[in-house]
Amino acid sequence: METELLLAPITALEIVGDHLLAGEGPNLAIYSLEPDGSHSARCSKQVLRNCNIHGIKEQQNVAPEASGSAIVAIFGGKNLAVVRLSFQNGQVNIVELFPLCELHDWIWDLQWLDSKAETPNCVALALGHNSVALYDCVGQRVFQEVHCQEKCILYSAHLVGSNWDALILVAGTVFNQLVIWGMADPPEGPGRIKPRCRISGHKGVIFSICFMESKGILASASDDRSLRLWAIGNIRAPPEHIPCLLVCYGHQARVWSVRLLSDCIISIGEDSVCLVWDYKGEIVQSFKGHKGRGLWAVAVHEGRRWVFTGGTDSGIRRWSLKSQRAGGSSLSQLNFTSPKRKGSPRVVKLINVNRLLILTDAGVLYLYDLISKVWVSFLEDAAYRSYGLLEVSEIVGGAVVCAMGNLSGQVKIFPLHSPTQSKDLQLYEGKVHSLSWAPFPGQHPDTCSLCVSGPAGAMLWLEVSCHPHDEVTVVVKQCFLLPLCKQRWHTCATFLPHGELLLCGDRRGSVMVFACRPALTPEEMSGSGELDSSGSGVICETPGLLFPLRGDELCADGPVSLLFGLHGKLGVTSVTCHGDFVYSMGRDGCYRQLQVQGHQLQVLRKQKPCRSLEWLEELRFAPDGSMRVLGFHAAHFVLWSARTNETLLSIPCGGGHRSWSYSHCLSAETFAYIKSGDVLVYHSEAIPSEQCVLTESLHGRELTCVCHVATLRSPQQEPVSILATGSEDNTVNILAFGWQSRSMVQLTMISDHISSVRALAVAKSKASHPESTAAVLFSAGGRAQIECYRLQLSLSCGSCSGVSCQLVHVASHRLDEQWDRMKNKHKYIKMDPETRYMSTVVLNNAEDVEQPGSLLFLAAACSDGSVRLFLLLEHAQKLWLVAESFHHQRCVLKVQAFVHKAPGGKRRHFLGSAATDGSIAFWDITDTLDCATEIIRTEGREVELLALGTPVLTLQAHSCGVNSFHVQDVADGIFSVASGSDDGSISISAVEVNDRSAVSGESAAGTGIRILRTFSRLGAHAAHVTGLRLLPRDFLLSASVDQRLTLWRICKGGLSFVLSKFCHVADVAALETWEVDSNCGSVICGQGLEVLSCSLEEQGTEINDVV
Amino acid sequence: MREYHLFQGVSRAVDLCAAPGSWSQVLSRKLKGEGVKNADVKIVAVDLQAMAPLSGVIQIQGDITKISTAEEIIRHFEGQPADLVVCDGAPDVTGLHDIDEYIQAQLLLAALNITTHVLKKGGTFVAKIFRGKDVTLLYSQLRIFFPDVTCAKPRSSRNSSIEAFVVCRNYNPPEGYVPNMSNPLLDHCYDVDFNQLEGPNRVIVPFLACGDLSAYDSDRTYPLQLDPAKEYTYTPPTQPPIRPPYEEACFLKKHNLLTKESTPQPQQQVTSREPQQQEEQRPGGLEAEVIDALEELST
Repeated sequence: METELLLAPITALEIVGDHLLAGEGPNLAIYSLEPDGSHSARCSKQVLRNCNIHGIKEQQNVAPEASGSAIVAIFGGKNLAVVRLSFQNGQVNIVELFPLCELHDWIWDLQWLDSKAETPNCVALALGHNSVALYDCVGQRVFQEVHCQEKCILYSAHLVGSNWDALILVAGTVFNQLVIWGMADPPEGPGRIKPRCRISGHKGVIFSICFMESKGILASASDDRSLRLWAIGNIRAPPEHIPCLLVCYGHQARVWSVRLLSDCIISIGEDSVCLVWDYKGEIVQSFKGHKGRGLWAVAVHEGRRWVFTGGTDSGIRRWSLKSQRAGGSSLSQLNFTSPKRKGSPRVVKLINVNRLLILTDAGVLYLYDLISKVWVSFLEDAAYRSYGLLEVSEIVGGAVVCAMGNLSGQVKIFPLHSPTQSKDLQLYEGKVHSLSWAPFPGQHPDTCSLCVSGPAGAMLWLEVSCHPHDEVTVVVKQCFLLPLCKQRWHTCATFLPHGELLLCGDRRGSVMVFACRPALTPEEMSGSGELDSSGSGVICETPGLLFPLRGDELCADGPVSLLFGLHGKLGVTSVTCHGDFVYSMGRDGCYRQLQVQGHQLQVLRKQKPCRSLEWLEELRFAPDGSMRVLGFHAAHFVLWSARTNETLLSIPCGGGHRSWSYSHCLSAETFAYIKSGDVLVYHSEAIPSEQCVLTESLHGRELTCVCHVATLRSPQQEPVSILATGSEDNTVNILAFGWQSRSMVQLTMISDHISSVRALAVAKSKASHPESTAAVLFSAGGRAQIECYRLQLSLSCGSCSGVSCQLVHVASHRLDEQWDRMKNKHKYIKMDPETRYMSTVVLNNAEDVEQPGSLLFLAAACSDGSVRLFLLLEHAQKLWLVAESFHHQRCVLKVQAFVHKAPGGKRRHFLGSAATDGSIAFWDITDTLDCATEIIRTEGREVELLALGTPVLTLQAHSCGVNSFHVQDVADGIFSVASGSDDGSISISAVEVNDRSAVSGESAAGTGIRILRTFSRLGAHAAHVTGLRLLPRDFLLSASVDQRLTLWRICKGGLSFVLSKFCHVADVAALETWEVDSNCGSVICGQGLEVLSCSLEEQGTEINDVV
Repeated sequence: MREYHLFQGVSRAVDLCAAPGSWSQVLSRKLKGEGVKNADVKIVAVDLQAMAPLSGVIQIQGDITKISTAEEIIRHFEGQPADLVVCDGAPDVTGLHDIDEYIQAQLLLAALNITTHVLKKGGTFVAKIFRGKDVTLLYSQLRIFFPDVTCAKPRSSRNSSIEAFVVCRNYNPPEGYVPNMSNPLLDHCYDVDFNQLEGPNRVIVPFLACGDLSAYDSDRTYPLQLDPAKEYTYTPPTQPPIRPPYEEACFLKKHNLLTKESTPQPQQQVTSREPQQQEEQRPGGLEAEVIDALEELST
């Protein structure tokens, strides 16, 4: 059994030369820090055996001939390894220098000692019970071990010095103290060394210690969530009383580690935040982006001012420390009010990062230049007093066009370079509600389209041409009618790439498409009328429109497809096209991914990019496809990076109701807004440098479930396995694992769950094609929530993972939906249990997933003691509860399904359910399924809740909870049932389904199943057996919280042990297996993810020999 | 724990790491019986922290790694060794399973060490254990002192919890073993024969699920209103933590006093159109200090 890939929490980081060394479980991964920025892992190797790496220390002052290589000690738990790294031609080699050593106690810190002739490779090891060992790597022995009088266990230790005789240990004790003692001090009493000093002050245990010799400052980080700085001076002669320089409270949870740098202090904590402090105790920078619960490791490259962090999410990120000369960005007030300027600013629009337009309530338009700081008043029109709309657009040809709208239905359009050339159009009888520029695909570079909403839902599409030397021409292309609602105007518009459709969002939250009429031919053009009699040269291509438009007798086109109120009552803010998809944003905090098929809009997914962004305004796609979101969080304008999960910019502007504008270019960005009658501008000459992701985040918290979706095969015959993982962090990841490259890539993330995800089930397509497949995925978990998706997977050369994954949300189900819809719910106490789904399984239907209109049944084990059956109608996007039973009366932990095919071709469906009392119940659900199918097929309505009846068989398999359960068809109506329990036991039964009874008497179905034989193996594992899979040829694979993966073979008399492997995922929660190239691929998840492969062929021969 | 008859014939019991004192309460009730005062029964509770007084329980505020604590326990028993030692202590978990399991194992071994000083031959030791990757090392250690070691998990404990209890009976230290508190007991290492890291031979002790099946299932979700006749009332936890380490941090957080990163604040910008006020630039704090220091030096 071989480990193919391990994703584990990052517990150690260290810079060695121009490389970053990371400890991921027992593996040492090396990343190059070459300036090319690719930072991909150069190499990874397991260096420790059964411990995780907690520290990495490079041996300094190595002989000069050893340049291009480094000697590094790696330690964690009781393991110590010393390796030589050699860097040549961009390649890294890791060679074990001395054999792995297992110490008698936990190693908290290690210090290389100066090489002497007689002891060339010695290290000092600070051990778990406040002792220090002098260890000789060459001789593989502990020369000496000295103990401190304070003999309690430690939570941290920090060695200072590189010479045994002058070595000092600063130990963080379980009693919240720092104890400082010297190795060479004479022992007192029973051979123990008296501490030179003790520092008290922390109210919790100390997790990290750092000492900076040059400043004489000691730093400590603690359980009490503070970090403290102590003025210790000379650590070899500490003063009697050590003054506390600083107490820093800034983390929202415990502080795990602290580092002292020359000009700042860096701390990381359980809140997944890395804080940069100055020596006055102020936070200079904060790095947020890692998912979930905690950062464990931090390393700093002082030369490049880079900080690397790694954490629970098994991701590694790089951040940049601000340079000493901060600046480059400023938030300034423009002091608009002046006797020289008229009115008070109402609308602000940025033309680009350096120029902005202001429309005042006196109807005056000002231009301001951020560089010259000059105000220019260049247009005044009393018709735009008190109410005026303003939109600017830089058209392809380079000219800037402005459009203004007013209360009396007028629109003014003019090029910025000559405002006097304005076109004034009387479009409506009443107020112009909104204006928006939208480039029309394939348009002339000097032309841009403008959408204008007036009263009664009339929206005009105008084509504006603005040649540098000619005057502005305007063509009224078409008039559209928005759906009926109170605030009936559009908020955003964009043309789809082919120009046939106009996509719009409105104030009511609806998203719609209008069909664009093709451009008129010159002959038709001649017949089209002028807008008005003034001879303005404005052409109207739509006959029958009389300007100004009046609401009642409008000849306008309604939407060809409408999703009414999609974004809720607060409205749609923007619509964007990217790739083959359409995205709409709204003030509901979500964006939708949509598809337009045959002029019809279809919602694929709804996503909330960031929990704290209540309003989304815009989505921007970088060339690499990564997303940036503009939105508002309370009173702050926020620029959010979806890729790195990070706030790039946050401006306390007062909220999104005010007039604001954001513009950016490659080297600068500007955000302008109006507040208290003045214009404020944030301007930065350096685009906020996004953190660099060296290793992607997996999940923020423990993984609870994993399932294999499909295995695709590249043209080069490389198998690529698609996995889905669910986690306590409420998300599901779809991952692609390439067996040859041994790399895992995240394809997409699902964040629709409001509580933890505990179970996944997949209905695979039967028509399998090596390069593409489809599947239906169910995810279920806390708050009685089930979500259902259709996955379309195919190999693609374009994407970095080599796999394209399209996910469509199909249906949702909540047991307590009525509660969610209830008003004033804070006044009531919810009496219903918050049921968790513990396990789900898709029933093996005869029907194929690919077939439209197929029915899928899902069974769920529920924490409220019930087994429930659901039915998915994919075409109707409905998931219905059809049957339930409270037979168990205890939390049901696992469900499995199996089908028996009787000789007559009749299929009987069975369900097995296992509970916390160790019992397994078997149900014959054939009649229930038939009944539900019949009702749906004939009446097409929701089924009234059916009863599941009573189990046909129950089996007391274990003394306590069943944590793993698998049923497999053996042959001729015989099924193998395997279960593993909390008590560490595995139970195997053979169950027979009797054909005769199954065929003849439907009513006497209870007699149709019986146990042939059953046996248990007690103490198969030392902890809960949380994963169990029956494999071909009577093999059985079990996984447990004791971190052993054991392969067994089922023999007549019981289970015979084949082999066992220590696995590096703590708190194993689930095991999944599938066949890959005649090998058994398996994956376990828990605090991380490990992919393994096992050849049963080899094992088979060995066992046969034994037997 | 009824399955073990743990409390039969016990008159001297020790509760290590006793705070807040729930085990002591149980011991007191079980050994003394409800209402009836049994003068022979003595219960000593030891913890580093002070506990609220419990009737019928002698409390010692002391460190279980100190010989003086062991001596004090024996003193309370008038020179007699204990019949039962219980240790329900658990550290605050960090979330890294290897560290948490190690620290818990050290706590158990410290409890075992003091137990070897105070427990009578044939006595019983019960301690909390985390069933993780190296639990077999602890089992093999305990087997040296106790021929009968089992792992027990109360049904009231959640199914997914790694916490369980080891019940070690019939204390019988190896021949010639001298209890020694001056060095900590260290955990065992894997060996090639009896306790393998990856082989079939591992020290796994019998497991017993204890408690009543009819009791509430801690994994099950129940409706709040269990009894239709009674209205639901909120009951606070019986023993909230006393002065937790995070007390001050929570106070600061609650009152919005945690240090925060400064957000951009608008500055007045003087436009070139307006006459610019020529103001002498005041040197910053640091520069001022340097200038002061230089002036001082020159005088």
